[in-house]
Amino acid sequence: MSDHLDLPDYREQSPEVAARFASIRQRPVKLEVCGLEKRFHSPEGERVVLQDISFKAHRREFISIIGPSGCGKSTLIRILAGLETISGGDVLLEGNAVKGPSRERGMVFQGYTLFPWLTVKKNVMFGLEVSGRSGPAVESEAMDWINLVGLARYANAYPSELSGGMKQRVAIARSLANQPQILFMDEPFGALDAQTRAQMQAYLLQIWKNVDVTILFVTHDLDEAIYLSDRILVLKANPGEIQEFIEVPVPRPRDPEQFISPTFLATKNRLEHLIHPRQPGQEQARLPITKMTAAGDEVE
Amino acid sequence: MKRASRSSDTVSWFAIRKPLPGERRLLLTVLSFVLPLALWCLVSYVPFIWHPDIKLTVAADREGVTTVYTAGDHVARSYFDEYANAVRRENEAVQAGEGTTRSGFSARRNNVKILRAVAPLAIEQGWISENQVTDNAAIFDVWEGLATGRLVSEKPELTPENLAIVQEDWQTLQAHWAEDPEHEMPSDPLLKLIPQGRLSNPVYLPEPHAVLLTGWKDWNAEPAEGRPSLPERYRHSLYIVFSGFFLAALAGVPIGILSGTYDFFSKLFEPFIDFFRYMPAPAFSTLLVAIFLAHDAPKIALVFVGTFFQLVLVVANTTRQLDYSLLEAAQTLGAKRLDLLRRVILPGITPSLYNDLRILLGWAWTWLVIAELIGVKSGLTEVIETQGRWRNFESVFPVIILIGLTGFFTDQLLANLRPLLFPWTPEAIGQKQGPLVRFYRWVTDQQVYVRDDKPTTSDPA
Amino acid sequence: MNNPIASWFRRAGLAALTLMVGAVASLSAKEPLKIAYSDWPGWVAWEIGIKKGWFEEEGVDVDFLWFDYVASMDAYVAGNVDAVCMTNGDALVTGATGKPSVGIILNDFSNGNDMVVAAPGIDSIQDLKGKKVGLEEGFVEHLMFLTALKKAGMNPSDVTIVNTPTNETPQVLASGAVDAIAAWQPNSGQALKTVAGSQPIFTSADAPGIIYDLLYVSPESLESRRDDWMKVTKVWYRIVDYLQDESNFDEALAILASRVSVDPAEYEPFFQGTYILSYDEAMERWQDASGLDSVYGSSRAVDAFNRSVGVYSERQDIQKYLDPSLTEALDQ
Repeated sequence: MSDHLDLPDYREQSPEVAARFASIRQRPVKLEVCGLEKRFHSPEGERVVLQDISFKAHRREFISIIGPSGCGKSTLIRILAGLETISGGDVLLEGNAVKGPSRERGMVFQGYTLFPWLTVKKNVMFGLEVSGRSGPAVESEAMDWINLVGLARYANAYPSELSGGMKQRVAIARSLANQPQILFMDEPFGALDAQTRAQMQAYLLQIWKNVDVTILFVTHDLDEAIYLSDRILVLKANPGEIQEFIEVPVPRPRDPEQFISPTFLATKNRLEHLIHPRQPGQEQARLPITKMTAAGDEVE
Repeated sequence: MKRASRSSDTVSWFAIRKPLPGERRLLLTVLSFVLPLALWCLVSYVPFIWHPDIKLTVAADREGVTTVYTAGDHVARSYFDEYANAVRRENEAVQAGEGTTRSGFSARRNNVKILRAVAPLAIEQGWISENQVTDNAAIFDVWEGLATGRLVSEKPELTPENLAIVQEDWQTLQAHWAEDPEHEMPSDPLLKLIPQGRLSNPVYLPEPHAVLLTGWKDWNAEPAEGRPSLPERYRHSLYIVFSGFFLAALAGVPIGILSGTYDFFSKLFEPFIDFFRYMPAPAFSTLLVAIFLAHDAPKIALVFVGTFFQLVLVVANTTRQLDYSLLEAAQTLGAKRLDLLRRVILPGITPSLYNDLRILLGWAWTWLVIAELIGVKSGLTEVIETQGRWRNFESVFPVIILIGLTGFFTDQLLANLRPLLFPWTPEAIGQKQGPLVRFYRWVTDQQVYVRDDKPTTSDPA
Repeated sequence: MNNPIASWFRRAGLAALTLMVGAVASLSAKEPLKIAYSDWPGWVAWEIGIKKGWFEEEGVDVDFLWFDYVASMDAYVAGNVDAVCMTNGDALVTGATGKPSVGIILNDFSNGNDMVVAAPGIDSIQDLKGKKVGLEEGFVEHLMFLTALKKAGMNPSDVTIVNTPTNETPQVLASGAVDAIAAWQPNSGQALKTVAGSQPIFTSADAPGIIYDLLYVSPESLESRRDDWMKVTKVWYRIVDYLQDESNFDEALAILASRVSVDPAEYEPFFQGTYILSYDEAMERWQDASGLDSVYGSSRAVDAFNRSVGVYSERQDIQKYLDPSLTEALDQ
């Protein structure tokens, strides 16, 4: 914090941002996590992956989860989605304990996970059909969601005909079609190139604006976390514990130009500090690289 | 500039792991079939390459030797002269009046055989039909024709030596019949035709045209009463293979899918199946005959035993290959147990399952040959076995080739049907869809997605 | 000792058994007689009766099943067929090791089809001294070869026997691994054709009666359906009469050759290497006597041979294996 003296404190919120957080806190709690614990058993013995995780997510809130690799952020979100069991503590959705996966809690995976044998439309209809519905109403409903993600022209295409970004838009539409209370996203844009990723972030914010859904978003990209979220849950590794739950001071609506705003940079600076704490003397450490050329001497 | 770019377009014939242009691939594919055929033709039709044998066109018995050579048999070139000389010596003995000690039926039968030695030649010339071989009148007519010069054999032609024998025998017969109005066969020995033949390869390498002609002839041949014709045998073999395979698939696919899906079934079935598959199926053949009696049941059972155990393991493995995250995604969309099996696992594995079954159908074919030999022999294999035992390899090769072609074309057909059945697989989408596929999709009212531009993420919403 | 309950059980069990046997017998009475036959001219001759419809004429329902020789005996032991065509020697082996049977029809004896085929340069059994001979140990060819040695005044130890499956003998002779083989047709003929200049130095024609070929019936079937087997015997002698007429020779040859899918001209020598016994000739050989001219004497010789080479150890009761009564009853 000392190396960027000109940046404001990330905890300082402008009045409108403070008002927004106040209103969010007034909203009903969708998801409540109390004292969550996860242990894995391995031949070397028991390993605590997550410990004492407690937080609340309000209606229509956008929360990102970040942390160094191995901090268990993916495990956390898989537990919340019901894909992993809990070793201790509680996960409550609107006050009810979560048990196994359900259509109330949608999930978007990094690996797209579209059903390759179904067309885009049929993929989006999957959740509706599984719940026992059928007929033209389901089809038109699915088309509405496909329209929302802007893929109407590809409704009859198979997933293998689509690019990665398009696939992920279909996956989002497919999850939202079930009208879940909460949507978990596990590094959804991690496999996309930088350009596509930026586009997808914008798309996601637009979609979120139009849909009443709470989003929990795992990422390792700090810019992405700040750009999208209301709050950021920062985990530390070994064992995975909450380090800090940051309220993002960047005002909404968000815009890519905010990436260089002082509040944005202050938040990013804080996140960097939390995730990659600098140890004294570390910056002097140099890699032992043998000099191989003399031709580029003047370049340095 | 232009020339440089042209030359860089031309891929080397031996570029490492680079696909060759379409026309070259086609050319090589054709060559891969043509080259072995050409080699076969070369060895068969160019005499000085091999041809260690003589294929008899005229054969003769020898006294005191139980086994006779008949026309079409092969004799080593080195042995042929010895064989022919043995017959010449017998003729000399007859001319010297020191014929054999035969009498009665045996002596007359001997003369019938001498006269019939000309039958294969007469058939080849078209003078008599195949079922006139035992028609003495027709045979007499041929001898008369040859003796008087009315009939002249070409390709193969009769040697002057044999022509002289024909004339001499014909005179003997005339003399005998002058006293016998019944035209019975004389008891005094006639002269034997000296063996004749042409150079040929060993009996196990017949010439291509002989294989083709014999195959065609056998295929259309009227079988002996009560015996199956070749097309009937073919149908019977197909019936055995497909029944065995179908039953194995019927039982094996569900077990395989259950084992691949639930650890419970995997542990319940797979260890034993894994052990059982190492026991060779043919080892069970006598057991199967004892259980199912003779006829088709033990044969189908053998194909089943040979296919089923592999099938279960392969299908279980295929089921396990299905991306687990698809199941997780389906669960977060609200799918429960049966939905997962019906809506995710089954459609998800069918393309791989289809390939597995294609490969296992090939396995089933390999068991056919053993299956048809157990109990009462049947089908195409019986032809291979009996004709092989009599060394009629011209009849064996067409059957082997028929089995090969059937397997090959079944597999090709199934492979070509794949994009039609699974239009969503990347292979099918990458492929240009033929008129058949488009027509099928039109008939089944599957909306055909026509890609009018390259999909990109920059595509506006 | 005389427990009334136990004796009641015994009687009840016996009654049940009788009922079951009766039921099975009445069931099987409706079934055709299943006869396994194989590739030996004397047995392929049954084909004439089948083709000419003589079984129907005699009013007996038969189902002839075509097997390889060894497989036909397996089928008989497994109980899949009621009767099987075997040599008198193999009937003893089958009986001692699997299932007994009764020979009721004496078809023929081998008259040259079984041979010792020697490589070029070997002209007699005496020339085989110190050489190797390939044959299937414990089978009839083995017995024939030992007989050949005896006739030539030699001992079994004068030659080395190499155990070789009969259908592989032609290739083994051609490979030069042995100096002679012993086999029956068509293997012996193939050996002669494959190895140019090879020749038969001893054949079954030199020891006629060493191998008899019969129809062996399971004792149960013979007991329960004797009348039907009588009719089968009748058909056989119709076939024999037909074959005795030389004007039928070509037709008969054609029927036989077509069963084994071979050219009649090629089949003729095999047929002639088989001596089909006329009714009178058969009756002579049915007389119990020592020596190979009697099927009893021949069977006793084979029994002794089988025991000497260890195929089985118990002396077989030849009387149980042979039943000429059906043939005798046919005497017009």
